[in-house]
Amino acid sequence: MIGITSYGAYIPHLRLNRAAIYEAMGWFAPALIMVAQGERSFCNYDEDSLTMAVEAARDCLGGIDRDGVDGLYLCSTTMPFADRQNAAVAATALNLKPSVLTADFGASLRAGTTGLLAALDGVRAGDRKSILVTAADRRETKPAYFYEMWFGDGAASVLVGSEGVIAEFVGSYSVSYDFVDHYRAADRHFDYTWEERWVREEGYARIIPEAVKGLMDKLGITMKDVQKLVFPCFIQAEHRAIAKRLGAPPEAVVSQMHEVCGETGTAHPLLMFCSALETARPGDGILLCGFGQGCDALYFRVTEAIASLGPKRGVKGSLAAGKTTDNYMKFLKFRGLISPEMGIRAEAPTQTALTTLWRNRKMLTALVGGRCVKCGTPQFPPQDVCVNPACGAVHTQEEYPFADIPARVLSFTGDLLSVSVDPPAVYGTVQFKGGGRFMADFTDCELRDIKVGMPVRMVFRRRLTDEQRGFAGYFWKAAPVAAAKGAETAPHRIRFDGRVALVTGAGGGLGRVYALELAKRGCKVVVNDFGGARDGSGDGSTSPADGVVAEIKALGGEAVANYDNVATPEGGERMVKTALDTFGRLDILINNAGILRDKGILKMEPENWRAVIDVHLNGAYHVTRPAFAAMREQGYGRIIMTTSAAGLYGNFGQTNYSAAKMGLVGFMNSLKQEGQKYNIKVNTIAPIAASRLTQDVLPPDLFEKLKPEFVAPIVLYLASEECKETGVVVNAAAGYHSRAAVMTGRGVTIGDGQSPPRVEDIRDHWQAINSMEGAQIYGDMTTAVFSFLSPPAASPGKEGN
Amino acid sequence: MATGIRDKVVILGMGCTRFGERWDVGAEELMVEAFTECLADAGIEKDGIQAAWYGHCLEEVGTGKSATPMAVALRLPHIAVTRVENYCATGTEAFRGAVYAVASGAYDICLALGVEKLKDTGYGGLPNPGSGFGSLTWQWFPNASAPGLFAQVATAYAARHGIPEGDLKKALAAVSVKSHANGALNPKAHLRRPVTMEQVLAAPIIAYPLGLFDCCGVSDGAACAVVTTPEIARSLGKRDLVSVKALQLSVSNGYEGAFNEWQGDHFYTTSKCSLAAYREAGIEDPRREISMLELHDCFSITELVTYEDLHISERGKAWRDVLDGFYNRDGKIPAQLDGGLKCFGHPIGASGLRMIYEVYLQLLGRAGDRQIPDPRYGLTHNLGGFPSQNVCAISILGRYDG
Repeated sequence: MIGITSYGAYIPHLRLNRAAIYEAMGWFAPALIMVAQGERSFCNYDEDSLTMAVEAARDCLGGIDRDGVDGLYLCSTTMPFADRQNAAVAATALNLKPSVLTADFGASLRAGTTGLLAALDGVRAGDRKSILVTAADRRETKPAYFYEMWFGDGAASVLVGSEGVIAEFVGSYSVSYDFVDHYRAADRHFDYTWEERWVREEGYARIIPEAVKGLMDKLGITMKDVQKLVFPCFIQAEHRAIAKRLGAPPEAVVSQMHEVCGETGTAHPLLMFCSALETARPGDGILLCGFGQGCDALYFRVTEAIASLGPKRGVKGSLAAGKTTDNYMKFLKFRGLISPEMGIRAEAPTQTALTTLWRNRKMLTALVGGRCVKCGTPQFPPQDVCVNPACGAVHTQEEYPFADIPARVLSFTGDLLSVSVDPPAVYGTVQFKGGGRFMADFTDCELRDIKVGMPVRMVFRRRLTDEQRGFAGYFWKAAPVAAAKGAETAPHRIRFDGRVALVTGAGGGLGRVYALELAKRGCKVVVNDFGGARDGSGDGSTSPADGVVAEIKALGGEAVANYDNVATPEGGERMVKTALDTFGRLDILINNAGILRDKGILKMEPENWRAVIDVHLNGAYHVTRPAFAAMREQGYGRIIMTTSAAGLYGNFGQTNYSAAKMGLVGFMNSLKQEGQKYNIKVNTIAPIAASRLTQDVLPPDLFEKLKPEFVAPIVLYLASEECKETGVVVNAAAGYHSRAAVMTGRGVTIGDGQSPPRVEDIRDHWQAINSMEGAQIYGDMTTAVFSFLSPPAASPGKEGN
Repeated sequence: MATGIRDKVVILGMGCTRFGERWDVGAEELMVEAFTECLADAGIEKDGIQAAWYGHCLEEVGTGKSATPMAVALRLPHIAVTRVENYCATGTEAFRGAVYAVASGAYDICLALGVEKLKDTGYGGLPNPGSGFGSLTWQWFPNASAPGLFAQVATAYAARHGIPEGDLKKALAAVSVKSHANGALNPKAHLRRPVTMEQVLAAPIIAYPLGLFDCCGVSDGAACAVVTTPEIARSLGKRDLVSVKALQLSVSNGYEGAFNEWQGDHFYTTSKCSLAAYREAGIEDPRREISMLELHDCFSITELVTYEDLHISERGKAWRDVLDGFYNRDGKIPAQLDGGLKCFGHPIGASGLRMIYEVYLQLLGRAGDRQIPDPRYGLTHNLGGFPSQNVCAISILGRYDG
């Protein structure tokens, strides 16, 4: 049996919030808003495909005897050297034995799977027992481009062999075509890309199925034999469509990690393959495809041995760690897309002596130091005379690899004077467990993260770039031992662990963002979307809800789809039942589903009136009623209604919509009282956001600024345990928040209350009746009426809540 | 059996330029400026000098290699001239060469001169050597600046002794405030304005936790000394003599940076070098016997920790002594009476001789507004390189009592 014997993954520490690209460049490319969700991984300034490939390989080789590795295939289309074998650098960095076959596989995004096939062929042929395949890409695009949004940086490794096989290789089928969806000439930095629709329809959607069919016919298997389907297609909708066409059930389709990482090119099929292996069970069939000028399709069957594979960082660990930034300019600088002034200090000479590098290759590239065989002192750099003052023996050093030894910070600084791409330059002395120390650069950290005594691990990084001669020098840096992203789960952070939310109309726009953000904070989510058209027509579709569920799962969250229509009582009942059946409770209801049928009053046919009232107002009733029952039972609930400025303030051509929206405010006002003693808080949001409902209602320049992401925080707050408010309406748009309320003027009592006033009395008192001076908010009807009948010497502006 | 340098050589005369951003002159003119003052002070002619030592560190921004630049600039009469370079100890090394030559009996009168012209780089701070740092070191050692290298002592010192960040920052600020107060009185200093604690603490960070006022300046300057034997000095009519009591050097061997003992919180070389210097000078209790210190205050933290490495302040307690004013001009042992590197800046080759110049003036009672009463021993200290790998030079000078 031959197959996969280990795997490892690496996704860089840094993630760019895609919204940041839009925020910076939306003025230039407004259409970016369409894809400005989630985050993408990106290399630190000292990372490239080679360093990522090494880090993934280190993860793969954890606990494995490196002398047993007979080959290293490095797969990438973005290797730092065109002529200096990149695999040989990686083999040195990994401290593999000299008698290792190394090769670079590139020139196509399919190179990752092709390299894997070559390794499988090599092991099957018998000359080599174990070959490491490591794939990485640092995907370069120009700024403000859809592909900049879609792409990410990352690496994955698999070890191929015949002993301890965790996934048996059953067979493969490849097709090769000169299908030029994109290309990059040998002297160019960026891809030239053909029309996306053609790439989807004629490329991914034809070529991948052809290879899959070829493989299935060859092996005599069907989709029933595939528990994990791995294929890259950076366009989410097409990815789902291809999977569906291949007959794969949604749970078998391995996430592309679009929401959290982006498409990592050559590495991506292997990265997805690694994530599949992380959750695979013995007996699972994994179908892996690599796409690019054709398609490789490989079929593996997971073995019992997978249970005994040691712990890994893997995809899961990589995604759980890391830091998300909104600093798009930093992203651009790190990728060399802007060239800020570095000052004369940066003009220092940068030539690397290749003779020196060769003599010291183990020290510099593999972080191998020395250990004195006489006194046992580990030391770095390795030197002929032992550093221990009590020893001082000459020529007693044996090789001592430091790369995988844990270390601690002995001293540090953050230096703003020395030249750095990411100032301050953080460096300091690190002390290794068991002995040995040296002064090292720190990376993947900020100055405030570093403390004397904290644990660090060594990582392989690009240490110098010689622009003049086109050379890259590599060495090792210290990185804080990755604190999981969840480490920010400080007590002050609002979380939804253990909570269950139902979001209606969550297949897109605001609802989708609410669902994603809730999930990111630990909430289980029922993603409801009927999948109808914007005006509510059509028979519905499962794909919007499914898509969001897949996104949440890719984030490591829990979600279930529901396709019912809020416009019917049965639909509302079933949604709540989905929550209770799947997750056992329902804590949060966000009534978000909506449609539009804008017409002037004369053209507002009853059908248009009713359709809008049915979805917005009746819809909220249909879902809230069964939800309220569940919440009352458990003594906890958070209900959010969605009103609109159109209802609160009026908008031409939206009488139906405005009536429904203001109706919801009334609904809330009374429901809040019914929920009071069960800790059910009911609040209303009046969002203005770029969504399907507003895309041709709002002026384009305004539309750009109104991302749903701006509305989600207030909605999440209102949905949280920390929210003690009830019966509040909040406007939210592009960072602006205000409370809207029905205000009641101080008023005037005309006459003695014994006899009705005359019409003329009204005319004479109109100013006082109409005055909003000293207006106040009443928390309920009783208070209001009581106040009217015995008006106090009102103090202006006081709330009567 | 070696007997040490004590009282074998005295200073016949000294000279020191005004330090600063000397846009008006190059290294050659600075050498002439210091040398002219020195000859007049010594009361000899140029022809009386038999051999010379030239201290110059950064040849790439200065005068280039070898001793010829000084021989040419001063038109020395085809005598023996040697260039020395040993990081920030360069000036003291030139002095050591001249003193040892006289002590050996090979020459009667020798010259030591140090110069550096740093303000020809086009940017602030010391030059960035890049791959000129050494073909192997360049490939792995952090691209560090001097402030960053020394700032690490502060983080390690605070961690080792459990000193709250705010308290350490205050003590460091007090070090700089004290030096500025002294430098304000010195017409040859580069920076002559006193500063307040508030100003120092509010300054921008250069390398955490060091701020702008924790760092010495970068400037141009030269200083020199003519040395001879006590007998010759007397024969030339000199009455009060300043004698060399000790000249010690300690150079790191990689122990600090690569072995597992040093904690990064002090200067191992200084702690050894100072003991050797006290022994050579016959000093038993430095806290009682030393009258003044001219320390290598490239950064406030360097000076602070050096108080401990000189065995004057207790380990982990120097910051308290500083805050108590122990090292102020009116304190028990005044430090940086001339303003130190803090106010003079640090033209590397010149600094060691500039420190000796201040001790020389103080011992002869010629220090004007800065004069302290009846000094007995003055100690100068250079620290070149960086905390984990450096060159430490300590000189002790005193009145010749023979």
